[in-house]
Amino acid sequence: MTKLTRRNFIKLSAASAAVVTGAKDIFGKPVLSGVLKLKEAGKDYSPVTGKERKIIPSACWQCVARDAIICYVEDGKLVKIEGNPEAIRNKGKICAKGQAGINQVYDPDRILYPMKRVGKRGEGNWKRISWDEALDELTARMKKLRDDGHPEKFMFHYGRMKGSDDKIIKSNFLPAFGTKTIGNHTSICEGAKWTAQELTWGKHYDVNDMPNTNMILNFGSNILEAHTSHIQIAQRTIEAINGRGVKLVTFDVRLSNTAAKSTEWIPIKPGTDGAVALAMANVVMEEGLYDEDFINTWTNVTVVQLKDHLIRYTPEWAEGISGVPASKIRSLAIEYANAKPGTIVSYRGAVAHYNGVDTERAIKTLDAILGYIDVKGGTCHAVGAKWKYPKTKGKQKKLKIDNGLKGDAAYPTHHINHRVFKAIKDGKNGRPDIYMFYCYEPVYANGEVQENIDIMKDEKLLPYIVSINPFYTESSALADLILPDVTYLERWSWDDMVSYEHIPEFYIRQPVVKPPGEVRQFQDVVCDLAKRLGLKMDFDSAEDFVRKSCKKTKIDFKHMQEHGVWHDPKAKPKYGSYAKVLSQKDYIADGVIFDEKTGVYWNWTKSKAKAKEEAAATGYTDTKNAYKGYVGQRIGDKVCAGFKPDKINKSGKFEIYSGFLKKKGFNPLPSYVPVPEHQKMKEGEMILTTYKVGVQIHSRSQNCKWLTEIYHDNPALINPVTAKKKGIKDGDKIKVKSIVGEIITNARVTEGVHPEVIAISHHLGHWEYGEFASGKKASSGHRCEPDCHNKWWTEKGVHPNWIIPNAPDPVAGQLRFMDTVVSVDKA
Amino acid sequence: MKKIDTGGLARSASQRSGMWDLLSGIYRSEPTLMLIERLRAPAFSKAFKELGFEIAEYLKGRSSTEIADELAVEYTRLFVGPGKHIYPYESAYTNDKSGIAFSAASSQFKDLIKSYGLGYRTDFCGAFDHIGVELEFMGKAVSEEAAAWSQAEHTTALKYLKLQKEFLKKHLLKWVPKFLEAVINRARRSFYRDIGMMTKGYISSEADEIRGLVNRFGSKQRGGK
Ligand code: SF4
Repeated sequence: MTKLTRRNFIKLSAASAAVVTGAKDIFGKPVLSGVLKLKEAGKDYSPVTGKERKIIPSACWQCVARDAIICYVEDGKLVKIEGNPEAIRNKGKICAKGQAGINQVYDPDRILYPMKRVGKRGEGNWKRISWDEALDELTARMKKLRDDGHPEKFMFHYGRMKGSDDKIIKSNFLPAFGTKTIGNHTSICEGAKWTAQELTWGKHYDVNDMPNTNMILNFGSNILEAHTSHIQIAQRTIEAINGRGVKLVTFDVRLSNTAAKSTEWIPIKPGTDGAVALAMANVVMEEGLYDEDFINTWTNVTVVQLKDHLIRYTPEWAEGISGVPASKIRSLAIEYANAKPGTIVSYRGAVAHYNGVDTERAIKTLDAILGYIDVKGGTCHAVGAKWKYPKTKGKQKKLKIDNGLKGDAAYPTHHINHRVFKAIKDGKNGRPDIYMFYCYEPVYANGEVQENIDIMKDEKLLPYIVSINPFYTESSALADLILPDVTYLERWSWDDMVSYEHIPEFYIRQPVVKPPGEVRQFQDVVCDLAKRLGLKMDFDSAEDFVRKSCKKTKIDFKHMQEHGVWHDPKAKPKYGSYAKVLSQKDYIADGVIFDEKTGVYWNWTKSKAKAKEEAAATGYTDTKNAYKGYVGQRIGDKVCAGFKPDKINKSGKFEIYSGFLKKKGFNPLPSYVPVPEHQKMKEGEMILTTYKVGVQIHSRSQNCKWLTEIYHDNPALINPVTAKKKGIKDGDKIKVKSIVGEIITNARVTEGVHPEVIAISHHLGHWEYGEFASGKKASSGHRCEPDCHNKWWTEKGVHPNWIIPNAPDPVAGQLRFMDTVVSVDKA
Repeated sequence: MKKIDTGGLARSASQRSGMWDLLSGIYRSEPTLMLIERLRAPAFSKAFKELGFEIAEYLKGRSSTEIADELAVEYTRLFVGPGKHIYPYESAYTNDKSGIAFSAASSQFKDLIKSYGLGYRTDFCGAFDHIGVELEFMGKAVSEEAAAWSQAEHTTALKYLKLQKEFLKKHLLKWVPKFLEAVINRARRSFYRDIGMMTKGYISSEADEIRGLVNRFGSKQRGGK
C-alpha cells in the first residue's frame, strides 16, 4: 500500500535534496542552461528564423475596455499581440478581439491617402489628393466660418475618442477654433445608466468589486463576452465564481455565454428588470434585512418612506410583469441581502429601454438599502488615472442640436446623438456647414439606417461632410472628403480607463509599426490645421502632447515607453470615501457657502451665478452648474465628502428620492413604468433585442479577417414554442418588420431565448467596410496580405438597426435599443 | 498579522526543488551507477518505505553495475524504442497526436523555455518538451523561489510560485498523468513502476502545495486589500 502523503513526500524531498546537491555526474547532464528569469514584459521569437522579436508595449483599442498590451514586431511587421503582464487592470490578459488587432493594421481595404469625392455624394467615385490639397480645402471652409463669426457651424461628431485623443481635440483644438457643436455617441451605448447614476450617487461609472464580493446579480450584461471593462470584469468574475464559489445569477432575455456560465440563468421579459429589482427591494424592506444606518445617514429617504413606496412592488406583482417566479425573487432577495456584501451588474439589457433610468435607479437603490455601496465587495465608484495635460482656452459657440429635438428627454446629461440628424433635418436650431465625424459611424451605429443615409446624402441638410477614418465605412462612403486616420496600433496617446483594482493605472499607446501610405494620426493633423488657421496650442504633435502630459503628471515618459503602464505602488483602494470627514479649511474657504435646504457646502464662484447674494438666494439646487462647486455634505455635526455630484446639482447624499425627476413630472422614487409599446402589442408580435458576441466589437471589427472568419452570420434567435406557432423551422427565411422598416434573415430556433423575444446580434450586415466585412472591396483598397484572397465565406449577416427607431427614453434620451416591437413571419 | 517564516519557506522550497531535480534526472537518461548507489542511502530507503514503495528492496542485494544494466535495458524499452514505446514528451499528448517529436508544438515549447532566459545544452538532441526537461524547469523555478524566500523577497517568491502553478497547469498536469499511467502499466521492473507512482503522487502533492502557497501569499498582494 502506498502512502503518498505530503508529509512522506517532505521526508523524501529532504533526502533527495541531500543527494542531488553538490553531486556531479549523478545523473546524465542537465539539459537546460542559464538562470531562470521571470519574464518582465514577455519575450517572443520568430519560429522561422529564431530571431528575437521586438517588444512594444501599448494599449488595445478594439473595444472601450482599452487593455494594456504588448506587441511583437518582426522585421517591421506586427506579428502578435498579448496582454501586458505588468498591467494591474487586465493582468496580462486580452480577448480574441484584442489579438486580432493586427488585422486592423493589415486590412487590405484601408484608406491610404486623402480622398475627395467626385460625382454625386454616395456614388462611390473618389480622387486621391495630397494632404496639402485636402487641408487647404478644409482650412478655407473652416476659416470662412470663423471669419463670419460662426465657428459653431463646424460640427465635430465623435464615437470612440478617449484619453489624450479626446483632450487634444475637445480641450484644445475645438476651444481654440471656437465651436462647441460637438456630438458624442453615449446615448447609443448606456447613457440611461449614467444619467440614473448622476441623479442618484453622483459621478457616473460603477465598478463591481468581484474579487471581494460574495454574490453577483447581473441584469442584462454579457460580462464574459462584452462589457466596457470586458477583460477586467470577466477574469475577476471567473475567479470569483470558479475560485471562491461565488454565486452569479444572470437575468437576461437570452442565454448569452455569460448566462450559460452563471450559477443560474433567469429568462426575463424585456424591459422588466426594474420590476424585479423593485420587488427584491420590497422583500428586503419587508423582511427587515436593510441597512438602517446607511439609509438614515446617507440617503435622502427614511425607512418608513421606502417601505410605503415599495409595498406595491411585491414579488407576486413582479412575477406578473416579468415572468420571473415570485418565489425565486423572494429567495434571491433574501440570499442577496445575507451575502454581505453582494454587487449588482447592469448594462444595456437593463437600461436600453423606455424605463432604463428608473431600472438603474432601482438597481442602485437595492444595493444602497443593503449598504453595498462603495464597500469592499460591493458596488463602487470607479477610479481611473487622472492625467494632467496641456489645455487651450477659447470662447466656444454651439448649435443646440446635440440633444436632439425639443422635449426629447428631461436630463440628457450624455446627450442624444442618435437624434442629431433629426435635429439637423428639423433645422430649427440651425445646421452645421461642416459636419466632421471621427471614429463614429452615424449611418451604421444608430437606428433608422435609411433615414441616416437620406440625411447624409442631402447636400442641403449637410453641405460638407468630412470623415476621419482608417477605413471605407458606410458613413465614409457618404462623405465629401476622407482623411485617412491611423489605427490604434500606429497612434500616440495616453489613456485612463477605470481600474478594477481601485488603483489608478496610467498607460500609453505608442506606434507599434509605421502607418502605411500617407496615413496620419488625426491628432497630428489638427496641430497642422491649427497652424493653418492661426490658432495657438501648446504642443505640436500627438507625441508631444503625450510627453508634455507625462511631464505635468510627473510620470517618466521613458518608463512608459518601455513598460506601457504605471501605477503608484503605494496606492490603496479607497472604500467608503463618501464618509471621509472634511476639515474646516475645506469648507470654510473663499467662495464656499452653505445651502440649508440640502446641507451642501458649495463654492458659488464655480457655478454660473454672478454674485454671492444671487447664489445664496437661488440656492444650490437651482443655480446653474452649482455641482461644479460642490465641496461637501453636512451629516449630523460633521461635514463629509459625500456622494459627489456630477452634471446635476444633486446633494452629497445618495438620492433615492429625486427632486429633479419630480420637477419634470416623473415619480421621484424609483418606480416601474412599463414600456408603452409593449402594452399595446398585438397577438403574435415580438420584441426585438440586439446583443454582442465575444469575437466582434459592435461595429469596428468586421474588417478583421480572423474575427469575421469566426463570426460572419447572425441568424435571428427564436424560441421553439414561438417558432412552432408561426410555422417557422430552423434555417427558414423570415421577415422581421417594425414601424420603420423590415429585414429578411434566417431563423435559428433555440431555447436560449425568451419566447416573446427575437434576438439579432448587431455586428454584421455591412454593405461597405471592405471585403471581409461586406464582400465588397473598398474604393481605395490595396492588396497587401497574401491570404486576403482566401476568404471562403460569403455570408455577411444582417444589421438590425435598419428597423430600430431612433427613439429616446424620456429621462436620459438613451436609444431604446431593446424596445422595438416587430412582426415576425416566414418570408 | 503573523510574521512569515521566510527562512522555513526557503528551506522547504530548496528541498522541493531537490526532489524535482531528482525526478528530472531519473527520466532524463538511464540511471548512472552513482545514482543507484546514492539511492541506496539509508535516508532514502526509509523515505521510500514510508511512502510504501519497494525501491529499496529492488536496489538491495545486487551489484550496482548489474542493476544499472538491467535498468538501462528497461529505460530503453520504455522510453526510447525501437518498437512500441511510451513517448516521453508533451507534444505527443497534446495538440499533435501523431507522436512526432520536434513538431511545431515542441518548438513552441522551446521558445517558451527561451523566453525565461534559459537555453538548451548545445549537444542536447532529445525532444524539447521531454519529461526530463519539464521536470528540470520546475526544479529551477522552485529553486529560484527558494532564493527569493531566503532574501525575504515575498513578491518575487510569489511570482515564481505563480510561474510554477501556471507551468504545472499548462504543461505537466496536462499530459504527465497519462504518460505515467503508461509507465506504471508497462514497467517490468518495480523500479520504474514505483518511480512512476511516486512522480504522479509528487506532482499532485506539489500542485496542491503550490496552489495553497499562492493563495496564502497572493491574497495579501492584491492591490493591498
Ligand atoms: S476587451 Fe478585448 S478588445 Fe477590448 S480592450 Fe480588452 S483586449 Fe481589447
